[in-house]
Amino acid sequence: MPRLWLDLTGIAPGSDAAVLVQRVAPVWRERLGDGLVLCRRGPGVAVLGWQSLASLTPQQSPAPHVAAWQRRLRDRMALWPPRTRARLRRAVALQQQVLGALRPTRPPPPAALSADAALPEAGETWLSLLPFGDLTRLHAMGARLVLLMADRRPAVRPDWLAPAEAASLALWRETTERCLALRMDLPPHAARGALVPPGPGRPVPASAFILADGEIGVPGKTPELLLAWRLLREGGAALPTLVLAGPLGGLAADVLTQLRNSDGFAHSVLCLPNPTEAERAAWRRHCTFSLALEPHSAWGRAARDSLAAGVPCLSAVAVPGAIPVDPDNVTALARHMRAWIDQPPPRPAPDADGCDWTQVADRLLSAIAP
Amino acid sequence: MSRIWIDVEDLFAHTGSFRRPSGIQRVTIELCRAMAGAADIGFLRHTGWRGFTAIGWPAIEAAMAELADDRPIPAPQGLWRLQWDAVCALAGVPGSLLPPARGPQARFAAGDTLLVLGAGWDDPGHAARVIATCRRHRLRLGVLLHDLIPLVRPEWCDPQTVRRFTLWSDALLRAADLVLADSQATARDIAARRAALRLPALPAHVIRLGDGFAPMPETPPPLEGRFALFVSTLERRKNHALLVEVWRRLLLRLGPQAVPKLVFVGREGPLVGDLLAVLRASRWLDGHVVWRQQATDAELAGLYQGCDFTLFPSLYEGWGLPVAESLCFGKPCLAARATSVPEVGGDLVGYFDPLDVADAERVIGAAVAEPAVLVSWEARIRAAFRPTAWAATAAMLRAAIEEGSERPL
Repeated sequence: MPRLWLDLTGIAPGSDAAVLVQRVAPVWRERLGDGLVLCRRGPGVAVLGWQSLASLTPQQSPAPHVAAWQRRLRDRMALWPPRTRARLRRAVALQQQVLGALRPTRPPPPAALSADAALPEAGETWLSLLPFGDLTRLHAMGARLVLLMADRRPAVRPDWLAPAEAASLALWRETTERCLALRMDLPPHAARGALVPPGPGRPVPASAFILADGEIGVPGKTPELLLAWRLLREGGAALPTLVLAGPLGGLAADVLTQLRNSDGFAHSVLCLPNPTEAERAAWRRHCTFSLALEPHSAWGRAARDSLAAGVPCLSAVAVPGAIPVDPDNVTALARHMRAWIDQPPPRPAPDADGCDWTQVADRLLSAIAP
Repeated sequence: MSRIWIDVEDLFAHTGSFRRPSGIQRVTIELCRAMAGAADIGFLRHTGWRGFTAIGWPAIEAAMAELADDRPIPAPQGLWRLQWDAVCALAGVPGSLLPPARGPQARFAAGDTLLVLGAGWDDPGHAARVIATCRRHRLRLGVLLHDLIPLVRPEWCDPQTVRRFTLWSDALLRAADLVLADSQATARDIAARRAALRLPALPAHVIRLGDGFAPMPETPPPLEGRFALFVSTLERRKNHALLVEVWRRLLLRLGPQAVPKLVFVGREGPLVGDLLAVLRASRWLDGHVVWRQQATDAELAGLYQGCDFTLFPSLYEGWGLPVAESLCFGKPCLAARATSVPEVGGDLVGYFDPLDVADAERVIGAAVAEPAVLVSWEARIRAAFRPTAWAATAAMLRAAIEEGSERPL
């Protein structure tokens, strides 16, 4: 089989796509040996070393998302006319969103940069996940282009893509030989392998808490979750802490502003963007139950990880063992959460339905093969 | 004869941020207009650091008309405007497009009532000025609270507004001899706040606001084809995102030909940046969503008259003026079953859960699919809707003041 070029361009650390690559790439390496090339597009094409796979996991906890200088600026802004304040708030939110997204996802320097030698030859397969890129050159060289959608969002909610991504997706669909999407019934994972980074993470909250695992922002249904949380707080009964853990998406500015405005609903909501795998695993182990509200997740990573760790889960996608919930019905979501807060559900047996990522990787490989 | 003084400074202060009045200012204007003819009514503007000066209603009406007509106004512009804003910012007071008040101090008499009907919290010194004046001249203080949203939903307001509103409303709740609310829902919020502040129970008088506003000229609708109308500032609280999601689903289910356009009328407010990004990415649902940031009264009347039905999915309201406005135009309204909205619409309005997209889709989808239902609904509104006149609201206000005046200060 000719070489397989696995394009890591722009895969956000901690995202579903990153997790998928980390789980299948070791199997492909076993199967293909040097035939698997990790690469990244840029001004040229950079061939990446194997260790770059670890960079898809956030290595460090990001700084608190509201810096001291931003607080000072906000206080001074309070004296300015409302319209100016509104404009500046938007600018600060955008800046914060960009910084928050860039800091953990900034790519490491390429392991090696080669001009011609690093480009695929005719007939070789170039496999790309999101985001998309300019394919004209690769196509002209005769490379076989395969697009793998790690989640269903581009197909179902193109309005959640940046305009450049949406245009690029259309080009991909015209140009690629194959466009693959993960099926909903892919088996859950069993083990993490050796990619969990060492080192301490942000500590587990001391009191009881609920973990919302998934992208923070509109695609992760965080606005709806905050509405449900407000309903629960109005109920008056005691509540645990709500922990939002996941990558900061491109549509998260309004959610963060709401949390800032209300001091995280007066400290009952903890926003922990871009968690490392170790942090995620630790929080998952200790939470009362978890929420996986991303409706277009391909294989329900958050729900399956939760169940594999023996933690009950309310999930927006159908996953065996998880309780299905519609995040667009905030009233019902709040009712489910209230019931589980009042009477925590029994914890399922960990790894109740273990999985075989080797099988997944082999299936993907056979789908990619010419 | 004791007099009723109404503080209208916030009408002028509001022009520092926005040219056109929003809900609270419109209510204040209509109430003042309904009360203006009486001999015992006076209007007040702030002057100096602590004082009030009387102003006649015709002068207020003329100033508001200048703004409503979008005519040029004699206020600093360009670089001068920037400097004016800077001075206002340094002084900690909202700037205004209209000139500051000048004139002799108002002549209060003990036993008069000073009414605060509007939104004074943007002026950090407002509550202190009002309370000090009431104490100095032995006046009764009456305050109309339109809602307590910055207190009950702080996440939707910027922290500075929450701080200022909290200080303002708490101070007035402590000092007021008469508290008025525009709905039972707001009255409940006020009672809860008084309990939280450990103030003695003083039930808020609920006054039914008038329906509709000054007569609007009939004009042809500025849009062609079928459309549904939602009039409100674009902000998170108003729940525009729900309608966009419902329209997306309706377009998928019924096809673009069968679904009317969705028209938003209102300026951009807080916490809608992500929604606007999604709308732009979807090319405004391929043209099925239309946004009019500015609409004159005539255009608004045309839109109301030309729409199939109106929508009001707001998550939290003190009252719900657009629902009343829709009924005044004889148009069916599909609204949120939340807070005060059912008090406005009664059984003439269709309701859905604003927190459940599927429920909203079911109710709105039925209206979209069966235009004949809308026709009979319009007939029912014409037959059954009896708008409340602003004069009746003013009478309720007077009755509440007279009842309060029997209590000792």
